Amino acid sequence: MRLFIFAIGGSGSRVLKSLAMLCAAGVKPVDPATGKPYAELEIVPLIVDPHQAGRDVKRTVELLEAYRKIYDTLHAGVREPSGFFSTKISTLASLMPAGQGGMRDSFLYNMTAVERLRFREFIEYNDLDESNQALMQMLFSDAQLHTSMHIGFVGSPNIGAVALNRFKDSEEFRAFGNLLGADDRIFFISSIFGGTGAAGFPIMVKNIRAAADSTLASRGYMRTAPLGALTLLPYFNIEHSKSSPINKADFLLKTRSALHYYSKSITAHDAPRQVDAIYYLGDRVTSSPYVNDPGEGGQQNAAHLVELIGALSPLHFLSTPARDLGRETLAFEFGLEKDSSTVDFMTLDPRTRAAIAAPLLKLHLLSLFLDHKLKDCIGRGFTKDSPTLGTEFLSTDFYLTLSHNFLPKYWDWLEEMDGNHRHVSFFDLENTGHLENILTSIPAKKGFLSGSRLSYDDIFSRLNAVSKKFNGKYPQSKLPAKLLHTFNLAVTQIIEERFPGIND
Amino acid sequence: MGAALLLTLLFVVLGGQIYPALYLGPVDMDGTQDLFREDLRSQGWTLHLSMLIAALPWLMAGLFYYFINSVHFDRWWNWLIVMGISTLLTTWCALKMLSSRMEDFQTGLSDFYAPCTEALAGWIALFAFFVFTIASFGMRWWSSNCRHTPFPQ
Repeated sequence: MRLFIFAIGGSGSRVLKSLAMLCAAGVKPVDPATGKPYAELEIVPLIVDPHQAGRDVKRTVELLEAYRKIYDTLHAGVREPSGFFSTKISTLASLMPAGQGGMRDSFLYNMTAVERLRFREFIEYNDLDESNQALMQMLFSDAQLHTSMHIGFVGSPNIGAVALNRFKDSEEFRAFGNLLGADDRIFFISSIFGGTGAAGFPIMVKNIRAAADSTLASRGYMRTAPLGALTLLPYFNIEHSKSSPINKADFLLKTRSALHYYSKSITAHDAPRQVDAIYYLGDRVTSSPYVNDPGEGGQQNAAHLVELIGALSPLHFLSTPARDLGRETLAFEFGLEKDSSTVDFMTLDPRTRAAIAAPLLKLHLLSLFLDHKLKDCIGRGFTKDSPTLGTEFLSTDFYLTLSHNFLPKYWDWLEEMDGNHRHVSFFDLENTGHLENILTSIPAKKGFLSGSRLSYDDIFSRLNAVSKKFNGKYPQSKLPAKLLHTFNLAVTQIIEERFPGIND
Repeated sequence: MGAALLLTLLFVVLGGQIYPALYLGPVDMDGTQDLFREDLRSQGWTLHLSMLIAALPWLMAGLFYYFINSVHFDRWWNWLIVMGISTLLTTWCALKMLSSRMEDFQTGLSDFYAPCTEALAGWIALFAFFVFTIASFGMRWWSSNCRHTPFPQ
């Protein structure tokens, strides 16, 4: 089954980054048909942002590319149904039959037609007759008409609404329309208080639902496919800048206007089917102020708790039975167990904690183990089991991508959330040795012989025990899959024994 | 495991033939070596020696692979240390046992046979080393942390 995600604007990219982290950790939604995690889930994200050189977009694309590379190595031939990187993340182009589509193989929606132009050129202002020019002057300010769209719609949803209406004519839309299957679902991620997301979301939903009248192969499903959306309400703060069109004071006003519009259009009870489930998420405790940069580099906002929680919404949507969708729009909100400025695993409600705590702890331990112990293990224990793991493994593309590309981004993500406001402090990030104190809120239980101490050697020893069962069961080419699979099993056992409170 | 046990059993069973046939240094003129060989055989000391030389290295190997079984002690030199201890311990115990049996048989006999016993000690150490190695080969498969020590599986 596929989930097509349209991540619109900077917030969309950032939520997608958190989603990639959760998928890397092995967080999976429950298939409502079987009551078990989806065995074969494929996420197809498309980042819709005209500001493609923006730092937030770039960081997310790099992360997704690294994820895809790791996934392809791990699951070549045999697909592991659970564990690290077990959810497939694909580009639209990679799903198209060879030679069809003509799209670049990217997670980005190609907006070169838009980004090269100023808004007045895009609407061909000079070719309009006098009365239409007057209408445009009424609808858009001079500054908006002169906005160069390669830096996005910079807080102007009225520009975005016009530009993104071209989506229905794009290669990406045609590919999506031909790929959408009967069991597939669609999800939108956007913010409501900016420009690109606020404008793009309703327009694109309407484009999809209206495509039932097109010639696309999946036009029938376009009308009926379950469609969910995460709408981010204001949650971050931004430095005041007179030269920037992005202004925090406008956030609430824009939110109110957009919510009002949504209630009359895409979530209206009496309107034709548009959005089946909508997730509203925001935070009154706003973040540390971000640098206000609408220019070339664009925003690079630190990761935030709201984005992490937001990343759970597409997974929750996938777990919602189809029978509950398709009538009135379901609306969801999220609340912390207690309103605290520092968020740890115990601050989360038990259901969320059960979904993410253990997988994130496993990913964290994996990262620490690869950094601090793997080299020392080579030539001993599990590394001598077949397929053998020698020093040459440390220079493979897989290992370099995982340990030098993906996992450093994971640490940046954690550090940014930790440094933000609210502080997200799941792990003691300074602690790279005493693993028994690695969780900020849950102390480790004493071990049988080891006392309270939990060390890399305990993981190494457990890996040795688990790896024995798989000795010779994987070919040499599947060494990365064996390593991550055995690590997942080993740390699962350790977590059950030493951190039993993590799922309470 | 089966092959290792079989080899050890053969060593125990054939002990009666092995020890008397061992080289114990240049042949002495007073016939002490012949007397020593004869007593080894006739007093049943060979069986006791063989059983001890078989049991202790197996026990020490078990200690290394299943009781210690630690990632802190899984390198080839760790195995070598245990092997060394096993060899010395087995030799010491075997000589102690032999000396005790001799004294039980006849007071002062251990002093009389001292040159032969010293020569035998080298052989006992060699046997203990081989038995420890065979035992290691035989039992390491199921050790979680040391199954590749000192030889990869």
